[in-house]
Amino acid sequence: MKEQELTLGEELRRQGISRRSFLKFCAAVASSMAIPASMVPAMAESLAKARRQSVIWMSYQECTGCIESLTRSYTPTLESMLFNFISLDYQHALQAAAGRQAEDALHQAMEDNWGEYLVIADGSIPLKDDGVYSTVDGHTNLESIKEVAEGAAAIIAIGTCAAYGGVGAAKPNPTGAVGVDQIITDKPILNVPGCPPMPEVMTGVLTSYLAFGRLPDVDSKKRPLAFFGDTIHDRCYRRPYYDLGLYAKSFDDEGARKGWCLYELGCKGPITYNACATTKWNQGTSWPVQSGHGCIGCSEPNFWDKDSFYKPLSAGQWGSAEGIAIAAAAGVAAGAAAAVVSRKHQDNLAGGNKS
Amino acid sequence: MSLGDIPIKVDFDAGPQPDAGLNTAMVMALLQEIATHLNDVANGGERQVVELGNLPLSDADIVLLEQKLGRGEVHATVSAAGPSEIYETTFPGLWWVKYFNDAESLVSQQLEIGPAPMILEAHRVDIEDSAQRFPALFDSPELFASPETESP
Ligand code: SF4
Ligand code: SF4
Repeated sequence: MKEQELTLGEELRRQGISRRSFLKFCAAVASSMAIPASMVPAMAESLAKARRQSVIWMSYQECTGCIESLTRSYTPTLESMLFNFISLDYQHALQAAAGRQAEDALHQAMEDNWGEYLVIADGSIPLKDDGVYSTVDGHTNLESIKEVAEGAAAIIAIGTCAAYGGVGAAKPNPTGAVGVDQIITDKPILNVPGCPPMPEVMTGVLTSYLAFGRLPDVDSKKRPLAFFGDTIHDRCYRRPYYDLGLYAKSFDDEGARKGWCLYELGCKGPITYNACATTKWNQGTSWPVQSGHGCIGCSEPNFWDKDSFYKPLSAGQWGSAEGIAIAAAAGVAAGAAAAVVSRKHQDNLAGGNKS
Repeated sequence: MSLGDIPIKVDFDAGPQPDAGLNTAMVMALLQEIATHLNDVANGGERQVVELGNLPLSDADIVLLEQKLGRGEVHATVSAAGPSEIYETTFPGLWWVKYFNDAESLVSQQLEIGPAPMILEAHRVDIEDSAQRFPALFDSPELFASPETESP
């Protein structure tokens, strides 16, 4: 039997990998996607029944930071499991083939999996002057994305550049750079912004595509709700300090040392949708706010052109006054509750100490 | 040059560690959720799983939770896609399940409420595989060794 004809379960079984590994892999993915943990067994079950997914990865005006981030997904063990689930048929930074061979491999993969392959794109696409500013194999990125999109089941735009134009589109946008969904309008497109994007999102999106047969639900900016449903601020562990009005005023003051809220140092957490606060970076080691720096809003369109990273939101061009007022109001209410409960905890702990 | 050569000043009087955070209202909400699940399962309901990674718990919250739940009779490790650690809390049927990656850092941790956590159970497909492979043991040469041929 050809490898591709086996189900993933059969394929991994042959390698001596038990279903417990599937379960654990799915538990990790479900955790990162806020899929109810009770669904994990069913998810593992249907993932085991799926077949390898052909993936074609196109890189346009990009810095390779996205693929750097994503190849550090999870851990050696769990990451290698993902690579058992997909067949990465074209990725010009990773593949051994080059030149004509590589382009032939691309066309072969498209032909073999027409209508079924997934396209992952990173980098923005220049439109100005017929797109001459970025070409591969004599074709502009514009021609290329149109060609691969035609036979794709869906497109995943990875990183803020492929999603919204990113740094390439920063003022004055010399190449007329745009994101994929400005060009392709007749295919399901999912944006995974972030500069760089979080590896867990990629793993989660691909796994749920395999297990559930479709892309996850998205918000108005085409971002998967599972990862982009809440703001950084909603899930920030420094939130109790924000609610209590305790702010660091400079990067080395007493408040900064005590881990107070970074709002006044320019944190864009309240208006940035991303999963950093709970998923964290570098295999869960830490994340920007935990290391003492405010969120710079890297997963939002035009974040690079929205004034200083170090000016408080209320002073910059970020968000509407309305958005900030909502965050502030929610903060006051949640803050009051948090304060009551934390006092209760202190009492409980104090009581425990005495006994 | 090693890490030890970098002159850093650690201010031990700086108060609570910045990355531990304060206790949040989340712990109380979580305890109440667990109480509901325990009741359901005690009345014959299905297994329930609460993923802790999705909740905005501070490190201080996790420590508090671990203290309150304690450790009970069972402690197990599973080696599949990296190590996993499972223990029963002092409340039978309430399990703490920690999935680690190879580097032993946590990828997911869950509270599971039920007779036994799912990662401990063998999957039917794996049992089928055992059933298929097992008879090969009958061919082990050692099993055919008679006392005579065994002596030197
Ligand atoms: S403003 Fe930033 S540091 Fe403060 S609570 Fe919100 S996300 Fe956390
Ligand atoms: S904390 Fe903010 S700026 Fe930093 S990676 Fe996350 S979303 Fe981007």
